[in-house]
Amino acid sequence: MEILNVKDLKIEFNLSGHRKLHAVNGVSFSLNKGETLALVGESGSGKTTTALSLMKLLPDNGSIVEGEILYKNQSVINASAEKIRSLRWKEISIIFQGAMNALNPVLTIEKQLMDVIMHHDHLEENEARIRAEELLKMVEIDVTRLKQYPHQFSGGMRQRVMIAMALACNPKIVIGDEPTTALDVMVQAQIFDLLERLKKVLELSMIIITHDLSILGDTCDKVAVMYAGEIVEYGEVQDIYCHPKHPYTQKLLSSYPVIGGKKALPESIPGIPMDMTQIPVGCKFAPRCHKAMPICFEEAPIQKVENGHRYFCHLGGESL
Amino acid sequence: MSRKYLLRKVFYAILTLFGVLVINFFLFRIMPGDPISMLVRNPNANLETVARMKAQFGLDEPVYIQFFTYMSNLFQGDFGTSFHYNRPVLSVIGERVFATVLLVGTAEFFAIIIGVFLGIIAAHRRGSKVDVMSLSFSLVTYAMPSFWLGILLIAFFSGFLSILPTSGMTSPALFFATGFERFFDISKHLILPALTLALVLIGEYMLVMRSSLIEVLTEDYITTARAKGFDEKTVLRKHALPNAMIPMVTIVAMSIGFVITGALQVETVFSWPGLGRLMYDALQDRDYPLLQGIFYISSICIIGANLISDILYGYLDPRVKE
Amino acid sequence: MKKNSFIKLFIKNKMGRIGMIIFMIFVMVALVGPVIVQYDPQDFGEKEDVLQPPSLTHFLGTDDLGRDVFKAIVAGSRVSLIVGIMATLISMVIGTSLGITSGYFGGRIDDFLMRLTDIFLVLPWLPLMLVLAALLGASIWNIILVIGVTGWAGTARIVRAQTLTEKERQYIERAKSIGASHFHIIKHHIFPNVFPLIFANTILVTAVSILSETTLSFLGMGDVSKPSWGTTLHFAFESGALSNKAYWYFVPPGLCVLLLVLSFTLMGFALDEIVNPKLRER
Repeated sequence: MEILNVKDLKIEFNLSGHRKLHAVNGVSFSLNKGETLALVGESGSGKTTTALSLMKLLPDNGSIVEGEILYKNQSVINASAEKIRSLRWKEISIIFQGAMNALNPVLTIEKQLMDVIMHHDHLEENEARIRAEELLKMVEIDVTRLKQYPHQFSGGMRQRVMIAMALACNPKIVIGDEPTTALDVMVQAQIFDLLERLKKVLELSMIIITHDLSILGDTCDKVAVMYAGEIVEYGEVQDIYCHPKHPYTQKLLSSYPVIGGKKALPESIPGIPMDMTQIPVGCKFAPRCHKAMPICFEEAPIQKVENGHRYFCHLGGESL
Repeated sequence: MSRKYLLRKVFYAILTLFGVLVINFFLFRIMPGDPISMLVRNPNANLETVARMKAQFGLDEPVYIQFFTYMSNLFQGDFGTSFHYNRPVLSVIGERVFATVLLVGTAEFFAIIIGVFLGIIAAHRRGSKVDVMSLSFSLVTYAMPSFWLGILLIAFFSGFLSILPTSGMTSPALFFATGFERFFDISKHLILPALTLALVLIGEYMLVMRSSLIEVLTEDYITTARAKGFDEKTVLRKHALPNAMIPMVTIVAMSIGFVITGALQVETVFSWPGLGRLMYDALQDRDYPLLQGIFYISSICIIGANLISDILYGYLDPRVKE
Repeated sequence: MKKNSFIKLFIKNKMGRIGMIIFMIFVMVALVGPVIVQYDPQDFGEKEDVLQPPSLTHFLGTDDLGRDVFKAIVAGSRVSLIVGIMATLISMVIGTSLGITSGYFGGRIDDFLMRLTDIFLVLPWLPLMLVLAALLGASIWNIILVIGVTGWAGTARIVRAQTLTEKERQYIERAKSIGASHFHIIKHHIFPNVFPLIFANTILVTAVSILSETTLSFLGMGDVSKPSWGTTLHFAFESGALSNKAYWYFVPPGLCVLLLVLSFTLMGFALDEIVNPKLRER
């Protein structure tokens, strides 16, 4: 059952001097109940902007200029401010990057868990506290730590608190914005195990945002690879892993040696991400592409579809 | 906040106080024109005073003994005898404390409320008319000598409008009046000096509150609070302000510490019988023991306020460890 | 940052531009004014000249001793500027050298210097200045010295912090490993990198110095032979210009202080925005 549908989404940021940054350019995807979608790409590719727009959380200088977001067949873009506030966290919640500053440093985690429970579920303080304890147990943190402040937790523990908080009001969709960045590999694996278990138990739909394809493993069902504000390749996780079509996806995959060896960052793809204030005529990835042909600089590629696996590239279906 | 943090702060405060005392000791002794020579040149000083001064400062003893005597006197609360008033310095100072506390307390009370309020509005609506006006106001009050601001207020309210008294704390005619009449009279005298002081403080507080809140509003946890579905008011009140108030508390505590210094200009202009005016008078009379006494009291106030602000900081910000 | 682009950014900044213009006007007045307009504080006017309102002969009226207020203000501009700038120079030299020493050498030296700085930060500066000025006697040089010696603590803290970050840079390690002396490293690597910060700080400290001079002079610690704006305000207040409603006597000098200090604050804000690019985009 489709729970979220994003159609041709375009987002712009107003910069100083009347310049415009085209952060997201016509992104479309859908999400079914219980399904997990991964949004993958380098920083600046528009994945976080896309995610924030689902909850209408764009910064003041950003706006959705085109497209539609439907949550349970209802428009998010045209919803009233009040409606949006009741959608946030209750229907769609988010696990923020790093969690260092995503938790308020001067409030105990008990306060931060309870305030949102009391706000959305209209519970009394005692009931909310019981719920907060439940949540901590769920993410395997000792309930005695409720009275502690964020700085008293380790990075991985803070991330668990953040997850507990995201689940506080039984949302239908949880967005994980780089939920394991800045954590060491062991802890990353633990966090993903936890997320997956909770997802199954609670029948959640999830959107995982990451720049690191290698960590996804079997956590997700579908992958959308983003470059310069566009989804350049989209498909089932197996297809993307085993038969990547777009040179950018291929590069992303090859920049992560699987096990052992030194981990390289995706920045090792030569060249820098394009200047998003100017849109080129041809394929946006062409200047950095190792397989670029003359046509790539002249014409934007059209979408090719093979069994639900779609991608934008002038090249045919050759794989790695 | 741990006990270790507290103890360290107290230790530093004592160390600083000791440093101030040492500087003070040498200041009044080594400078050209030390108290005795100034006194001898002063035609009003008689031999008896000179002798008493010498004994009080122990100037015929070696320096380390002088220093020891000086310190032990201070610890016993003996700040010496005022030349001008011919009474113990501490009792002269004691009489003036109330006036300064009344003046500064009133000014701070209004300045904190208005300054914080304006700062929040300015930060919340950056670039709006309120913001630009508050900023300009802060810049101007900062660039103005506060005594001159006092003079302008006197010129306007007393000279031009003739509605408020310009100097002192009570009207001579009402000196012996009691109760409501006296309260009303003091209040009337209080308005202008307190307003002068408050205007300067409002500018400062508003500026600090504004930049602190702007900083906090860009933090990730504010996005979290918004994502949780709280309205802007709740985000501001429950999630942003507890963080933004932390630097504010430090600034307020520090400015209260500088109370005597801050009040000096205003009290001088308005002849307000507080510690600032006392200091100005002591300076005109070259009343060194009194001057030194006020100097100690101001230092203790500042160091004490500093300590309190450190303690409050540790209490408000759970991240302060050790 | 290139010198040219720096100046361009500064001129483009509205606050910087306004501040610069006001400052230049005062500099012109201080340089040229006293040559054109002769002012002798000892030259008292006749009885009928006392406290005259503004007129064609006396542009800003006269004071209680029959002297021309406008001439006094022109002469005062030079004193206020010189005292403000000289005192700031002293503060900067002390603050910069202590800050760099403290940050660069660290350890015990750092501990001691920072304790000392803490003491100077909490010293009640106005009473301290008053006491010092009273003990040293009223002369323009003593005032400069007093303001300079009491005003360096904030600068020392800022410079120390910046030195600490610069010290960690790799090229410093490299310079050390090839045997560069401490003096060489400080002179060629640390100081040039700390300088932009010192420069921005200097401008803000000058504003404070000018205010301090005005306050000291107003409280009667000024050099009567070289009257500054503060001294003029002192005489205006003491002579009862307020009760005589001689606005021309006490408003203009204060307004001059306000404008000059404002020009420095505006320039300081503008520089801060240029030196900290983070503030610019916001």
